Amino acid sequence: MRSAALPLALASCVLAAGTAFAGEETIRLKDGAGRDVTAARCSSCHSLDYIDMVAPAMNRAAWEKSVRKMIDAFGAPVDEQDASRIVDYLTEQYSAGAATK
Amino acid sequence: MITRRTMVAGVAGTLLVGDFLERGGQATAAEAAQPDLIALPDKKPLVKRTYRPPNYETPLADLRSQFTANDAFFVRYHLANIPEVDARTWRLRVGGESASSAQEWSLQDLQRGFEKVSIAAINQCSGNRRGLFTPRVPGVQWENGAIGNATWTGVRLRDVLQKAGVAPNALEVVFDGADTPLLPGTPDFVKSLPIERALDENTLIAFEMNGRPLPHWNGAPARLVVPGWTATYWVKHLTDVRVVPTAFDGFWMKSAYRVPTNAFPGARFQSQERPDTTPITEILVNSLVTSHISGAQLARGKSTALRGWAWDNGAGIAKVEVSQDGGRTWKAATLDRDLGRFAWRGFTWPIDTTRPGAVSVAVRATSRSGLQQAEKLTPNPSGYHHNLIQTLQLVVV
Repeated sequence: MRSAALPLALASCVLAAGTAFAGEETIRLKDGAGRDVTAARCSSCHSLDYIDMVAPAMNRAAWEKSVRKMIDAFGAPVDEQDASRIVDYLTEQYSAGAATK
Repeated sequence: MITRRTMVAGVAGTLLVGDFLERGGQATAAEAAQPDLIALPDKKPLVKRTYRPPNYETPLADLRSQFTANDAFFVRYHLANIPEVDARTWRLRVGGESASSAQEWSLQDLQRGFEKVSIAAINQCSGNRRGLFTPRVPGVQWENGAIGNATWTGVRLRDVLQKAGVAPNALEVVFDGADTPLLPGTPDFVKSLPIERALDENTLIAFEMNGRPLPHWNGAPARLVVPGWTATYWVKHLTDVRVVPTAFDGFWMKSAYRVPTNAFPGARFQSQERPDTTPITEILVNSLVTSHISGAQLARGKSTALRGWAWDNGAGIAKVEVSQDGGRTWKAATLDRDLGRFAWRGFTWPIDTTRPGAVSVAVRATSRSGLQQAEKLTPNPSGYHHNLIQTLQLVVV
C-alpha cells in the first residue's frame, strides 16, 4: 500500500528516497533555469539518466508530449507551472542539437 | 554494486579475440557512444541504459554463446518497485470471469502437479535496436543487446488454465506480476494474450532458465514464456492470471506496445486491434553478427570466419546469406545445428582476406515462412521491429 494519503509532493520525496537505485546518485543534470524542479519531479519515478539517454530524439514538441504523458498517463504530481518550467529546461538543455557539456 | 565506467576502446578491447588486430578509427555513430558497464547484484557488468527502473543490455561479447548466461541476460523493467519475491511463500492465483474456478498454486504445487517441460527460445525486447533508428525515436535507447537465448523450464500455461477450467466465452488471459509502480496514479504493468496464444502448448509458466532458478532480475520465481512473441508479454514475477471474456483495457495494452495496423507481418491480436494501431505480437526475422564489429581490422591471408545468430517468430531460419558487393549478389552462409525453432540459429561465413583493403559484409536472414530482413525499416513511433540488414565495414591489412 502506498502513502496516497500524504500530500503528493511529500509522498513522492519519501518514495524516491526509499527507492533510489545504487549508482543513480552520481547523475547530475546540466546547469540551467529549471534544473532543480526537473530533477525533483522526474526523479520521483525514474532515474535522471533517462533524460540524457533520449535527448538525441527530442525537441520541444517531443518534450511537451513526454511531460504530458508523465502527468496524464503515469500520474506524476506536477502542476502546470512546473510542467512548463520542466519543458523549457529540457528543450534548452536536452534536445537534439542542444549544446553538449 | 560494482561500477565500471569504460571508454568504448575498453569495451572493444573485450572483443579483441582471435582474428582482431586493433580496432579501426571509423566507429559508427552508435558505437561512438560510451556505454557504462555496471553490474546489478548477481549480474555481471552489463550495458547500463537506465538505473531506475533498471534497464541493462547484454554486451556483444556475452552474446557469442548458444545460450546466453543467466548473469549476462538483459534486464528490462517499466516500474521501479521490484520486490524480491520469496519462492517459498509465493503463490500464483488463477481465476477470472471466464474461469470455472479460482485456484492458488505454490511453486511446489506447480512443480508436482503438472508435467515439467523445457523449451529453447529467444527472449527479445520489442524495442531491441531502437537506438539504431534514424531518425531517432524516444524510449530506452537499446542497441543490439536486448535479446538472449535460453532454455526455459516450467509448466504449460494451458495445463494450469485447464485445471481452473476455461469457459467457452474466454477471449483473453490477463497477467500481472509482483512489480508495482511508485505512485498511485501510475498504471501497473499488466498484459494480456489472446486466449488461443495462452492455450498454445509452447506458452509456459517458467521457473528455470538454463537449468537454474530464474534470476531475480529476469522474473523469479516464475515468469511467463511466450516463444515467438516479443518480451513485453513475458510477464516477470508472475502472481495473477485471469481468464476474461472481454478485451483487457489496461494502459500497457491499449496505449503502449502498439504498432501501426497492417504494417508488419505476424500473428494478429484481434480483440485489441483498432483501425490505427494494434499490439506488437511476433518477432520479425532478424540476425546479428557477434564475431566482428564495424571498423575491425583483419589480418591479410589469415582465415577468418564471420559468425552470428539468426532468429524469427518460430517458423525457423531457412537461410542466412552474405553479400560482399553491397547487396548485388548473395551467397549462403553455413547454418549451425538447429537448437529448436524458437531458438536462434548460428551461422558461419569465411571472409576472404587475400586482398588488402576495405571489405563490406552484409548479412540477411530468411525465415521458413519466406520472410526476409528489411532493406529499409518501417518507421513506427515507438521504434519497434528493427530488423534492418546489418552491414559491417571491415578492413584487411
